[in-house]
Amino acid sequence: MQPFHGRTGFRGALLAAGILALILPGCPNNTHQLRTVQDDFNRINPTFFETADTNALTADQESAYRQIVQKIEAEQLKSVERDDLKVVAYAIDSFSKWRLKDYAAAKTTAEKGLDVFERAGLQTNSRDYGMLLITGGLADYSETFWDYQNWLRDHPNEFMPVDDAAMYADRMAAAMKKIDAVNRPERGLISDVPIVIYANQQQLRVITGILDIWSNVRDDADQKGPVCRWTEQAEILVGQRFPSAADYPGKAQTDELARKIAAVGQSYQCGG
Amino acid sequence: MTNDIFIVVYAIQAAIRLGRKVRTVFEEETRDLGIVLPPVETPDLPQWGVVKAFFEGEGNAFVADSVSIPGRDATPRGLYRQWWQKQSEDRACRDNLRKAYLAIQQGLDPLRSADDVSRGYRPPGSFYAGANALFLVKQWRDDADPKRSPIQRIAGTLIEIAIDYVKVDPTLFSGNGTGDRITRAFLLSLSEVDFAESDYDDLLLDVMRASLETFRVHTDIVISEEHLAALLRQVSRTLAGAIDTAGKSGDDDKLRALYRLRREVLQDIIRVSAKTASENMTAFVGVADSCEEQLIENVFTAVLDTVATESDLTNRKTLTDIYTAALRAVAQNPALLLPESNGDRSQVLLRNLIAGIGSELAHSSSSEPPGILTPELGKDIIEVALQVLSDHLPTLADPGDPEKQLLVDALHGMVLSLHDDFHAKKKMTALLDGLFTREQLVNLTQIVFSAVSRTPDGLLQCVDDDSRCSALAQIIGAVAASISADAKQFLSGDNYLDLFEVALHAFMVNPDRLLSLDSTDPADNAMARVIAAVVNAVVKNAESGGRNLLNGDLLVAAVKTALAVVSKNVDGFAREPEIVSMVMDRLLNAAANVLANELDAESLLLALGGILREALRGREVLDQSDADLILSHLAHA
Repeated sequence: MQPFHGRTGFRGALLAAGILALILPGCPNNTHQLRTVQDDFNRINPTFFETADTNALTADQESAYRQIVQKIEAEQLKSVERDDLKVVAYAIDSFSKWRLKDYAAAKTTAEKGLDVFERAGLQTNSRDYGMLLITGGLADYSETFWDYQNWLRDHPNEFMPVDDAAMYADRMAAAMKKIDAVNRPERGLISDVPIVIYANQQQLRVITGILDIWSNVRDDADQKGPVCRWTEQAEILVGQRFPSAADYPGKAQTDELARKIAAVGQSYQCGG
Repeated sequence: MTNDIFIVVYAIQAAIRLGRKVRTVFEEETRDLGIVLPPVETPDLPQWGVVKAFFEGEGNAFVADSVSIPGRDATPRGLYRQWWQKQSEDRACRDNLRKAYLAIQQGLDPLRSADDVSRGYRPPGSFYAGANALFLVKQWRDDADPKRSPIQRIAGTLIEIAIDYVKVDPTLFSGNGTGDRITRAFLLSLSEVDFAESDYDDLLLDVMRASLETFRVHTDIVISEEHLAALLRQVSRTLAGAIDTAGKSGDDDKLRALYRLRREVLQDIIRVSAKTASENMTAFVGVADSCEEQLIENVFTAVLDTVATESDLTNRKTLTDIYTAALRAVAQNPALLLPESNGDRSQVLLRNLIAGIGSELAHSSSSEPPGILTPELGKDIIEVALQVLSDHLPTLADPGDPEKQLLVDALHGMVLSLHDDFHAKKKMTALLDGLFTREQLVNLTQIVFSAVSRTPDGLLQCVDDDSRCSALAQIIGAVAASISADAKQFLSGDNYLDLFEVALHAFMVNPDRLLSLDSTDPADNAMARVIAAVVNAVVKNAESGGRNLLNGDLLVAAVKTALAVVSKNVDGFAREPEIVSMVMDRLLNAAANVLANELDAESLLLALGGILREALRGREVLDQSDADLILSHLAHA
């Protein structure tokens, strides 16, 4: 995976930054403010891997997301004139609410954003469109994940009953299906579009979550069936949903996830 | 590089001309900006099947039971045996095994091949790191070179700054306006600066802002782009170097002071540098990185070295004034930097001078009671010192030992000898404080420094390294001691300055007889006794109703006459230490009484020299009547 650069290319930076000032007479500042929110959003996310626990938000991250939501809802959505910029704002807003575990609000915001996108008939914003499409699935998965984590915390010594495991796994699977909606042909998004790659990688992560559920069931015999089904599902996902090109953005991450899941299948001697 | 410069300047022009188009493009840029998306939550522990396979296989030793083999020692139980035995009964034990597996794999990670997928499990460290890497979702491909030049890193912000200035003054960037030229000069200055890392991008932008503001306000400064580029390069490089050094040495106080300087004084530094360079082009023009080109850098370095070490010198105006004085002095006499003989120590002389003066003044100010020479005088005293040093460099500076600072030693002598501790009367400092204005104190310093420049060894040499025994300290102490005798304030501050000059001159004429350098008490030496005798006699006469003929300049003249005469017969004075008082008393009494008609101040002074000369040979001359004693000397005029 290429290192993350917080800056754009040289010529793009010249143009973007030169235009960024926008203190020419008559230029509104709302686009500039939206740009600021984007920068704030981008600054939070690389910090996820600076803490040992990569799942829970730190106080700083939580505060940063809340400020983003507040800024967007107090200012940008009201003042941004162009529909394509509104969609950007809705996408960032919905993802921020998702990370804040405000799942219902995240889904509602995503629906609003999708509504704007579709009524405006936008041909741009594939990334934001994709984000809005998958927000519901991401929110459902996260909600399930934390419910499942709470069960583990409340039952530190107990193994999960098979029925409970199946219930959580099914919820995650349902969430995964929602995320997979980004791949539907009618959405007009193709497999090598970055947001689609991102969405499909999240599906692989969801599978790792499902596999983890079955780790907490007592007997190997109860584990094997679901594990083998899901490792096979992952293999199909990798073969069908990701670009076939020798290289694409995030390929290294995809390969790592796929190897990890395949290793699980091998440990259960699935397919043999 | 040239292309980059052109692009930046063009972009500024383009951004201004595009107007509405600019807005549209910006909105589209905003829409298409890459966004970093976080991953969904993932399990922290490896999947159980992988863990179990490990402990059943190559990791079995960790969980195996102790095995008893006949004839051999039993194998120890595996470290995690207990958990292993209970992993199907207690989920906590299973979780512990998963954690243990994670730890083992992280420890073994360097030994595993990242590409090896033949085994059923892989090091989870790299696993999770790779799997959890963040995802930048962009609309376009970024093929930017990671090793971007400073121009490329800061180009966008440069344009922002320039557009800010256009709002204030549109003519600044009118095509070949001041702003255009400054921008080109600034960008040129980056070409040879080693700012490979982005740590100093903010500093560079500060230099740019300061430059634009300087030249927007001070339109009278005329300097070519090339020279401005060299100047800005030196300023940027020097400040970055100082910050880097302070950072690496962990000197937090200095770092804070440097950042404050950058925030408050940078514009002044650039203004002074440009103005001085434009007024002294022959001094500052040379090939790139020649001694001439490095003058600004070396002077700035010398001044920066004092930042935080002498905090009282580092308020904005003082620092700017010191830098101005130093740069001008160096422009007049580049040898102040001793470039050829000292290489990269070329600013040591200057730095030590400035720092030494600051240190002495700080010490004076922190004494109990505080001395009259304080850091508020720092800038003026440094200016005086630089001028004197520049005029007498061969005498006052040793290229082989730039740490040696004779003027700082002289200042030390002044601080010492003007303080209460040096005088038996402990209220000296208060007396001096009430007597001298700031300007007079600076003038006193000028007098002292000039004297030292003429005879440094004579004035500064100490007995047993005790500064109190130096001639300078004794002379200043002698004059200062007379102030306490001057109860009626017959002498003003300016008069005392004249008195200092008189005393210093008397020493020059007779360096080894008027002072006793074996004692630390200035009252012990002949010079002090002579001065005191004259002043005391005048005061006593005035108190008893005399005519008050000798005050101000005339009293100084009387002291001068007395010192000159005693200097020619010190032995006579040593035999009759009261002789000066006796002669003065006779004259002043006569002027007030029997010879009131004949004696005015001038004739009194005339008679003083002659009578004192005769009295030093033999006091019996004073046995004559006033008329016989005095009138004969008036007749000789």
